[in-house]
This record gives sequence, C-alpha cells and structure tokens, in this order.
Amino acid sequence: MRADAEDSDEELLRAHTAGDPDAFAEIVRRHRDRLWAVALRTLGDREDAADAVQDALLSAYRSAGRFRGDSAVTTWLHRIVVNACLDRVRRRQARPTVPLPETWAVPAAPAPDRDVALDVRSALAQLSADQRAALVLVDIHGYGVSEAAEILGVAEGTVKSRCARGRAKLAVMLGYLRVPPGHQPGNPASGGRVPSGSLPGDSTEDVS
Amino acid sequence: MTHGVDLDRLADYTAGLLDGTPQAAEVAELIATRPDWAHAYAAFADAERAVRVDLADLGSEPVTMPSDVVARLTAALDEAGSRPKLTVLTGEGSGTAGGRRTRTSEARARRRRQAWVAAVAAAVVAFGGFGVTVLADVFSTRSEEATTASGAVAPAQRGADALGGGEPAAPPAAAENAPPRFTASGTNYWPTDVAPGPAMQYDSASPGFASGRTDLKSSQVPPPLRRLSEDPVAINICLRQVASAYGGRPSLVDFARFQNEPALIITLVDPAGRPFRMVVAGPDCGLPERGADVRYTTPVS
Repeated sequence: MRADAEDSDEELLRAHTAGDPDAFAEIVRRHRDRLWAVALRTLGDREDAADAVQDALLSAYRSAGRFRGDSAVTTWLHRIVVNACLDRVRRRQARPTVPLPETWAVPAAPAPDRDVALDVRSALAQLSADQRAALVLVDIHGYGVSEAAEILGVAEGTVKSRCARGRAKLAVMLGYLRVPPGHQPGNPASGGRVPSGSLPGDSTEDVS
Repeated sequence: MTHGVDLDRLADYTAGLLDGTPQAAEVAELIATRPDWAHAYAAFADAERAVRVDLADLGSEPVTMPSDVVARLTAALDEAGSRPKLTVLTGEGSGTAGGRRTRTSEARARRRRQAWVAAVAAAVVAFGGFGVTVLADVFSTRSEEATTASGAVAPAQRGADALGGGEPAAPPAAAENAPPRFTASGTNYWPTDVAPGPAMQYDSASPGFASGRTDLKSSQVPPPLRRLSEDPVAINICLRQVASAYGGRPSLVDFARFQNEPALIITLVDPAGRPFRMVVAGPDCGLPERGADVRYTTPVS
C-alpha cells in the first residue's frame, strides 16, 4: 500500500501503520501549518512551538497504531500537539534560563511598533496556559466547543468557562472593560491596552 | 467576595454556566444591588464581543510553518523511521544496517540521544587537550552510557594527556558560567549516526573564544560557517539565540556538518553542567529574521 495524495487522513494513517514510508509525511504536509499555528499561539514562542510540534508529531508517528478512530485524525493530532504545548509550559516554568556571561552582551534590538495584533498576543500570553489554549482553539481557530473539549480532554463546560474567563481578562487588559480599582487585572491605573504583571484570580477552577 | 467585581464569576454567569445553581442567584443579586457589578455586567457583552473580534482577526492572519521548522521536523521523522546506523559508543553492539524500524522504545531513543552527545564530545576529544576538557566537562556527571562513551575515546584522551594538553575537569558548579568550547571536527553528523567523523586538525593550545579569540583552523570550518567562526559577535548572537530558545547554556560548539550540510552542533547544559539538549543550527544562525536557524534538535535525558 502506497500513500496517495487523494487518500483520506484515516487511510493514510492505516497505510503508515502498515509500513508505508510516505504516508505519515503526507499527513504532516496536510496539517502542519494549522498545527504550527495552534502551537505558536498557545506557546507564544517560536522555538518552543517548533519543539512542541516536533515532539508531538514524533509521538503521533510512534503511537499511530493505537489510534482507534474515535475522532478525526486531525483532532487526534491537535490533541497531541496541544498536550505537548501545555507540557512545555509546565516544564518551562520549572527550568529557568541560565544567564549568559557578561561578555556575551549583545545590544537589544529596538522594540517594533506596537499594534493591536501585538497587543492581543501580549495579552494572550498573560493568561493561564489552559485559558489560552481554549481561546486559541475556539476563538482564534474557530473550533467548536465540543471539538475543543475533545482536543483538550476536558468537559465542554470547562472549555466554555475557560473561554469566558479568558475573554473577560482580555477585555480588561485590552481596555474594553473597566472594573473597580483593586480588582482590575494588571495595572489598574494605566488605562493602557496591555498592562504588565500577572493576573489575580487566574484560577484554574473552571466551571465544568 | 465583599468588594469589587469577581470577573470569573461574572464571566461564568454571563456565559450561562451558572444557570440552575445557587451561584446564579447570588450573582444576579449582586448585579441588582451593587453599582459596580451592574456597571460591569452592562459593559460585559460589548467588551466580550470586541475581544472575540480581536481574536478572530488574529486567527485570520495566515500562519505557515517556517521552512527551517519543516526541515528539522522532516529530519526528526526521518530519524524515527530509521534504525540507528552505529551505536558503538553506547555499547549496544556493532552497527545495524539501515532500514525501517519496526519497534521504538524510549530507552533506546534516550541512549541514542546520549550517544549523540558522546559523538560530539568524542569528535572533539580525539584531536587535542582542549577536547579532553570538554569531554570531562560534558560527562563529569553522566551515567553508565557516558562512562562507556568516555571509555571509547580513552586512547585519544591518554594521548592528549601525554602531550600535556589535558586540563582537570571542572566540577559542575564551576562550569555554570564557563564559556563554550569551540572546535571544527570535520564530522558529518546524522540523527542516527553517532560515529565521529574523519580526523581533523585542531590546535590543542587553542583557548577557543574563551579568551576572546579563536584559533580554529579556518580550513576545517565549512566556508558557509566562517561568518560565525571568524566573528565573535556573530557567534555570540547565534548562541544567545539558541540559549534563549532552549534555556541552559552552550557548552560545546562544533563547526561541522549535519546531513551533509554545514551546521553548528551545539551541546546545551543545565546549571549543573549536565547536557540536556543537542541543537543543530544552520549558517544563518543569529541573522535577523532567522533566529537560531535550527535544523534539528533533540533532548538528552
């Protein structure tokens, strides 16, 4: 059995498990841009995203025989990629970068002009990884709540709650919503679009 | 909560997630009786709509996997589909023929990654005392596989010691701020091929960039990499990009080849001096828009 560009994802995955050397590469070719976009927006870092996608697709390559067909291949791939991203977030928090010696000093590049998209990306980066992943799937990539729940491995109510709470925080950070001092996420006095600092109440106790 | 608006509760309420629960009545009462809650609730729908528009706009921006990421992903998948060609440094026996792997175990993958580190270190150690220092640094805290690898290059190490080129191994803690070691081994690395490459010439007295200069013999550096080997600023920018991307610090840099293409083979170590990742960077490493120009990377654990 040889991979064919007209084969469905499921057919290609079966061909891969049957030993077709080209089948998995065709699956990757079809979905890599979308998987890359999800990873990049979930992690907010190019190299982390590249690592996560590589780890995830290697895992998928090796575990393809365990794919039961309960979901679409693309959903399965997204689930593996998103899990790899969330895993990297956790590991990144556990491993600080070692400061480089002084002699390595390199002048910092001038900051590029800020724009709305950059503000949104910066604000997204301040959300919890779980809320960010939910918003990336639902609001940025247009997945339905049920499919996002399947990808994330949580209940639909949890996805809804993460999205709702994430949007509320973004609304404040982006200046669309004002809340009384003392409860405004970030910098309450700035009035700017993206205050710095972590958000209070960035709870993971979502409604499910 | 007695003061201010609890955004999470308001968000859940507005999304209908509290319907049918006692909390819904509580939030409704807060909205009815508290001006701050009433104000936030009134503004919430428009604010949320604006956020959705911003996020949708972000999603409408086309995103394509960069070519260098495609290249390293392809290399990684190629590796996953191939048997290791030579595993002598891990003590797994002589080389196995190429062909498709039918079973993969994480333990084998891990040993191969460690052997990769061994190959880089061995490529260095074979040609001078400078390399001996590197080997000691890289493997000072390593496990059984590292010992095996060290043994595999012991004759070269003894030879270097006899020439007085060796240096005592620095303890891991002392290595925390050590500058990276540089070499040009002439090795052509493959994801699954951990054998050191052909012999190279290396000035054993070279301090590398540690003292602000390099004595790498330019003839051993692939021409596309000479921008990096001859310009300390360029290599510094490159290595900072790599360290920024993966954490840790570069301990060992080999100006070599990867799958026939000129590349830097970089060993990253953690604060204790233990290698945790190998990174293959292309000749454009550090250039604007190219970042670390990573062609391949694999963890070492």
